[in-house]
Amino acid sequence: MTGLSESTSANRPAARAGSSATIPVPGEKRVFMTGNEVVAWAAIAARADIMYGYPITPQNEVMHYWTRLAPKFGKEFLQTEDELAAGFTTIGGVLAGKKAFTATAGPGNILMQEPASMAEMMRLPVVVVIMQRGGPSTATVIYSQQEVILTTFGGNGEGFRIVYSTSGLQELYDYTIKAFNTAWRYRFPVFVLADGYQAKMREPLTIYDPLARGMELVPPEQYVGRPGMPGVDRPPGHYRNTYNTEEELYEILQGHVQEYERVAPEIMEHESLETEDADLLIIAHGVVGRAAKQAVEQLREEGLKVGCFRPVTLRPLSAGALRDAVSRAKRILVVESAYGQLGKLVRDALCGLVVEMFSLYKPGVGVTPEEVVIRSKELIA
Amino acid sequence: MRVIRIVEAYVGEYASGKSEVAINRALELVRTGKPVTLVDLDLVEPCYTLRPIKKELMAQGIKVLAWETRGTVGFGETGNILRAEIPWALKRPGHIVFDVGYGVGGARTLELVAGIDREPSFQVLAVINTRRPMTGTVADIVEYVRNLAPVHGLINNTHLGDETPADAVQEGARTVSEAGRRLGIPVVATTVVAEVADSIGPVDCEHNPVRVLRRYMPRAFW
Amino acid sequence: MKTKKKPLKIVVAGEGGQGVQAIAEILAEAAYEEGRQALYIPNFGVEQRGGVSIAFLQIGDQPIGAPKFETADIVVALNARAVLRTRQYAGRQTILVYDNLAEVKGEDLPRQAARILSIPALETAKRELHPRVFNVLILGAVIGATGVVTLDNTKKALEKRLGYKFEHDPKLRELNHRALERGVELLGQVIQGGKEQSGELRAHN
Repeated sequence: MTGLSESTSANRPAARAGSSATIPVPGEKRVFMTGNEVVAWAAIAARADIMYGYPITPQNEVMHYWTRLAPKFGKEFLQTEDELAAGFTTIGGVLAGKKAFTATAGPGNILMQEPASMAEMMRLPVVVVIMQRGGPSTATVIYSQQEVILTTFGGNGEGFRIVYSTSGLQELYDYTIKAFNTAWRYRFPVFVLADGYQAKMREPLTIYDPLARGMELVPPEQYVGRPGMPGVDRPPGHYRNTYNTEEELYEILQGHVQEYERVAPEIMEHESLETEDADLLIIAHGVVGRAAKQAVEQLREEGLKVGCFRPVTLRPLSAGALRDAVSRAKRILVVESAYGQLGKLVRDALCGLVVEMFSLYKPGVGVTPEEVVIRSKELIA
Repeated sequence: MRVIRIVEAYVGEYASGKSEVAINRALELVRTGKPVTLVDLDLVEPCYTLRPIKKELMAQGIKVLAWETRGTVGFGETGNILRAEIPWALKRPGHIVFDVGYGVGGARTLELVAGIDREPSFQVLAVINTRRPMTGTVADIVEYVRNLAPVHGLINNTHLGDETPADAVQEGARTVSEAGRRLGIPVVATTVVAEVADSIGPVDCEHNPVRVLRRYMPRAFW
Repeated sequence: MKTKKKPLKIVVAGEGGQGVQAIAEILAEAAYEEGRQALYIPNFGVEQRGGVSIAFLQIGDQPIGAPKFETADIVVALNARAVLRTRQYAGRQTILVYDNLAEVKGEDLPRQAARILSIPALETAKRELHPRVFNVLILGAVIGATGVVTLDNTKKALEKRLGYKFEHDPKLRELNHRALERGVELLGQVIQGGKEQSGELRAHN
């Protein structure tokens, strides 16, 4: 692993010419990977510059793979003493104008909320990948969807951040790349919320060079150390995370509110399946969304009118589209590997609508399509 | 030279298929009638190991040196307690197959096994899946295997999980064989699931023997 | 039914270290000694020295509701920046008192205020007493302007807070008491020199 002292540009070896490694992924390739590796490859493909990290199961391989790939592509890495430092150093990287990211899980995510709050206050484009594990506290190293509230609203602020919830390895690749673009375009902290299943799961997927596909990669920008004398050639960069009076803070936050609400429609994403005529609407995110989709397919084959709404952004949530889909349904069923965390976000988005809401809550436990089918049949009878 | 017994260690990249290949090798050997021991030397990976299927394998006549999953869950990154019987695995009679985890120690983990340096027929086999990007090209494989040294044989286990087409396996065979020529290491076999083996035949396009794999590891996710 | 008297609303503001919070805390304590209701909250920044320091204090006969209020009856500002920061709390009935050494720009003063008085508090403290009792002088001025608590009860509150220091050096007690009395005098002089006190403010005594 490269430490910062070893990797000044003077002694960093240039990427080997002619090796498969000068362009991260030439063109496209169908590969067999685990989720953690996907994150590392996607970050390389997104032209990320540096990862700051601290080990915690189940996301350790993100770090392992990044550190193996880093020397081949001229990337940097720093292991910090804990997740607080990992988050703050990521902020430092961003302020220096680097595409910086970090990854964590569980108790590490709790610590990460402190730097995340700073990133919210200062509107910094940090990228954080979360592999949810059982909670609360150490619980299990395996899987859950119990970090939804923590990742969407876990700081001591208003949650002006963006959270993508991926449901498989292709999405993990696509949205890790997108996370950097979203962060640097809109200047809010961005989280890729996955889980221990996705981290360890092995699936084929297509990895690609976003530039080869004609995608734009938003370039990073320096916050500090810009050329010219501050105060003379240009205004000084003055970035604050602390204010002296209530009124000052209020004004700044009003600015954040307006900007967040302005760009939210451009950012929010969701996926719907058979929702036009559904009597029962299942709402699920991430990996549980796959079980829900399978359940819908099976139920439809049996002639039952069930649909599925899968939010891809949990923050900002596609409230309009959700309300739309819900207004056509008689009943909704929220399914998650948590005890009502997605449920809370859904209730908040649906406020004002009248609909019967049911749940299939399995905190820290994987949800099978069969369970969703059985529960749906109970509700549609 | 008369081989007294087979002692093989399967090493490879994370998710290359070394556990699957090791299990199938152990099952192949147990059919010869001699005792077979399968050793779990994965000290890092909390979930994809042969531990969850230990009972199933024991029922097939293999002696498995591994914890039950319950005995190790929760340690995550803090570490792994080595079972006392594992360093003395070579004292056991019959064939011994080691499944060596991907951890940073790699093949050096084998140094934990007493007498490994004196075992006459000891072989280290590197399992390669060319659909894993770190071992996708000849150059990458050569570099990777050189770092693992010593390796005595290569196994082409190219696959894409459930999506594996025959030509991917053949392409893998060509890549691994070329790497083998550059390294001066023989390709011992191409391992592949039954359906695909049918369309390839008893040898692959580089005349490496084809060995049929039965999948056990999908049941080994925790 | 008798209409409830509204509590007196006081804002004191200055730089961290000038003793702004101490003034408000002592006043609140004095009101408590007097058997009245008091509610105090501070506003300040993260700086160890200097920076914003504002105190919001309400004294009345009924339990006070919310800690924040829109308009103060009296605003006391110890430096120029404080005058600017507290403008929003000065309404048409508000009295603004500020230290005459503060270099306040004319346009920064709240033109809508009922009375604007500048007193030579720091000057007097430096010349006659000691610069450290500058804030006690200001405290005296506030009492003089509002009569919201008696001098005696204020001295009791001061004793509660600084008694342990006065034990070591009784001269400090004298100094602080003198500063209080001087503050009352200063305020009185400035008022006599100008218009009469606003009737509204008298009603709170």
